[in-house]
Order: sequence, then C-alpha cells, then structure tokens
Amino acid sequence: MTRRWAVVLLTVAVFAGACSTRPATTPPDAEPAASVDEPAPPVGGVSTTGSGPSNLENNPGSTSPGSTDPGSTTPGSTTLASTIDPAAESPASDASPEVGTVPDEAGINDDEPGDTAAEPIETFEPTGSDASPESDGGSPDIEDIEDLLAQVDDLLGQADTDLAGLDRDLADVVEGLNQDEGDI
Amino acid sequence: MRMPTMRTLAIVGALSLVMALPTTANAQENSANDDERHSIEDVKERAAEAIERRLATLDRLTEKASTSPHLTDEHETALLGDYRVASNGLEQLGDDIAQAQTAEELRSLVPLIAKDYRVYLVIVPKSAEVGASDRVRSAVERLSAVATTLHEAADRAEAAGFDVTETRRWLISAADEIAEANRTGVPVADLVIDLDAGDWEEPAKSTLEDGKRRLENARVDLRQAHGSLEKAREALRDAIDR
Repeated sequence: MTRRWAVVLLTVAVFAGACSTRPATTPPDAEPAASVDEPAPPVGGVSTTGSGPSNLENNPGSTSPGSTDPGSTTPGSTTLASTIDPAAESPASDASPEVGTVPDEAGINDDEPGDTAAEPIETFEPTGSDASPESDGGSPDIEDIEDLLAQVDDLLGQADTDLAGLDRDLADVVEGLNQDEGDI
Repeated sequence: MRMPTMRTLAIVGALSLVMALPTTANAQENSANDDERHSIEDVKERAAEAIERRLATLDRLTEKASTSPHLTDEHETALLGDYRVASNGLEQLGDDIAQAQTAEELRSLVPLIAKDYRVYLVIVPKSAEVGASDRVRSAVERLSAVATTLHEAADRAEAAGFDVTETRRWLISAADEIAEANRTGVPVADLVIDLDAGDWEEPAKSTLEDGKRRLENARVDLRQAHGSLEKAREALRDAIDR
C-alpha cells in the first residue's frame, strides 16, 4: 500500500515537475524569433565556407539558444536545424536569405558549372577557333579593322588607276624620245 | 652669081644665129626666176605647215598640262610658260618667214623652226617625263596611304590578339619598294623641266634618256609595292578570319 502510494506520488511529482518546468524554458514561438533576430556570429562566419551546417550539428550547444536545455529537442534548435539543414544537404539551398545570401554567392556559386551569371564573357582567345571574335557576332575591334580594310581596297583601286596612267605616261615618254623635228 | 648667093646665105644664117642667142638666154632666165619663185613659195608653205603642226602640239600639251590632276602647281606653271614662249616665238617666226623675199632669207629663217624651239626633241619628251614623274609622286603618296592604313589595321588586329607577323613582313617590303620608287622616279621632273632647245643635243638627250630609265624602274618598284600591299591585306584578312 505504501509502495503503491509512493509510486503514485512519484508519478504525480514527475508530471507536476514536468508541467512546471516546460513554460519556464523556451516558448515555442519566442525562441525562433530570437534566433533570427540575433544570429550568433559563428553561424554566418561558418556558413560562408559551406561547412556551417555540419558545425552546427556537431556543436549545437554553441549555436542555439535552445541548447541551454541540452537534454531536450528544443524548438530553437529545431528551428535552426530546419533552416540550416537544407543548406547542408544542397548547395542550391544556400541561397536562402536567412543564412547568407551574399557569402554563398561569393563562395559556393563559383564552383557551379551551370551558373552562367558570374561567368566572364568579354575575354576571348583569338587563336582558338571557338573563340573567334566574329563567332560572337563581331566586336568593335573587328569592325574597325574591316573599315580600314575597306579603305585599303578603295586606295588600292585608286593606285591601280595611277599605275595604269603611269603606263600611258611612259608610252608617251617612249614615243616622245623617238620623235624628231622632221624635214622642213 | 652663084658664089655671092652662097656667101649671102652664110651671112644671113650667121646673123640669124647671133640674133637668136639673146632670146634663148632671156627665156632661160625667166624660167629660172619662175622656178625660184615657186621654190620660195613651196618653202614658205612647208614652213608654215611645220609651224602650224608645232603650234597644234603645243596647244595639246597646254590642254594636257592644264587638266592633269597629277602635275604639281610648280611644274604646271613651268611647262605652261615654256609652251607659251614657244608658241609666241613660232608665230613670230612664221610671220618673218612669210615676209621673206629671197631664198637666202628662207635658208636662214626656216631652220630656226626646229633649232630655236626643239618642240619634238625637247619639249614633248620632257613634258611626258614631267607628267610621268609627277604621276609616280602621286602613286607613291597613294601607296603610302595604303601602307599607313594597313599599319593601323595591323596595329588594331595585334592589339586584339591576332597574329599579324605576315602582314608586317609584306608591309616592310612595300615600304622599301615605295621608297625606291620615290628615290628614282620622283626627282625626274626636276631634272628635266629646265631643259630647253639650247640644251640639244647634249645634255638634253642623255638627261632625257636617264629620266626614262628612272621612270621605268620606278614603275617596276610601284608595281611590286602594289603587289606587296595586296599581300599584306590578304595576310591581315587571313589573320582575322582564321
């Protein structure tokens, strides 16, 4: 009889204790706000390298306000995990504005072959057939050279006329030197 | 009776002969005068034709010099001055010949048509050489402009990363050929333009022959320069199309 009462009382006491400690820890809707408003510096710093999520998973106590209650799966730690975990699994999700849009652009995106936005496009290798300036629609340099070559064509045509005229002039010279004053 | 008759006949015959001689001499003299008169007129006519032919030639040269776009102003002025002096002198000489009365006068005047003006031995060939020389100058300037433009195009192509080695090699050849044409052909005009009738036969003849050789060499150089520039253009075209 006493043992039964002791078990009941213990159960009640544990229940009561549980009920009394839960509100005192972290309100479910307060902790995420706190974690967003004041992110711990290490979170952003680590995430720039892309290794932040793993660090968070490895050291939850140092990153989450919820970790003040290490024995429980607090909403705070859950919130952070749900925010960061996708980033840890997929580089594409690192573009999430919560964990560092800018650092991700400077880091992970550079390694993505499909990302053409940051690809250098103005430089080309003229010795390669694929890099021919004409193949990308014609550059100002090529247009200038083409204009100059058109001028060259025109000038060479005029020079042709000069040389044809010189041929006639020299024929006149030969004819002139073969003349005499004649008999009068 | 018989003897006197014979003697009389002989005398009469002798007298007839004596009387006939002056008549024959007069006829011969008149014929000679007529021949001389005809001869003088013929000479005057032929002299006038010779002068007219030269005046026509000088008119043609004047027209050519006045309309040539290649002659320098200085050379055009000098040649037109020569033509004007020659034309005026020939017209005056034509008047003098027309008024000549004797063959002796003509013998001294007619040769001056050639000797004093040398239209065909000096003026015509030197005009041709001056024109050709100034044409060489014009061609040199034109081809130099081609070379300059190609240099600019090659510079731009090189700056854009193209290989213009071949283009530059042809441009160097063209520059040498243009320079040679400039050295041989362009000075000819100034070498011959002061020649006049008094310089015939020397130094006019050898100077004109030398001018002809220079101009022919310049023509060869210009043709080669033109070819080199075409090669340079093709090389540049290949470089940017490659």
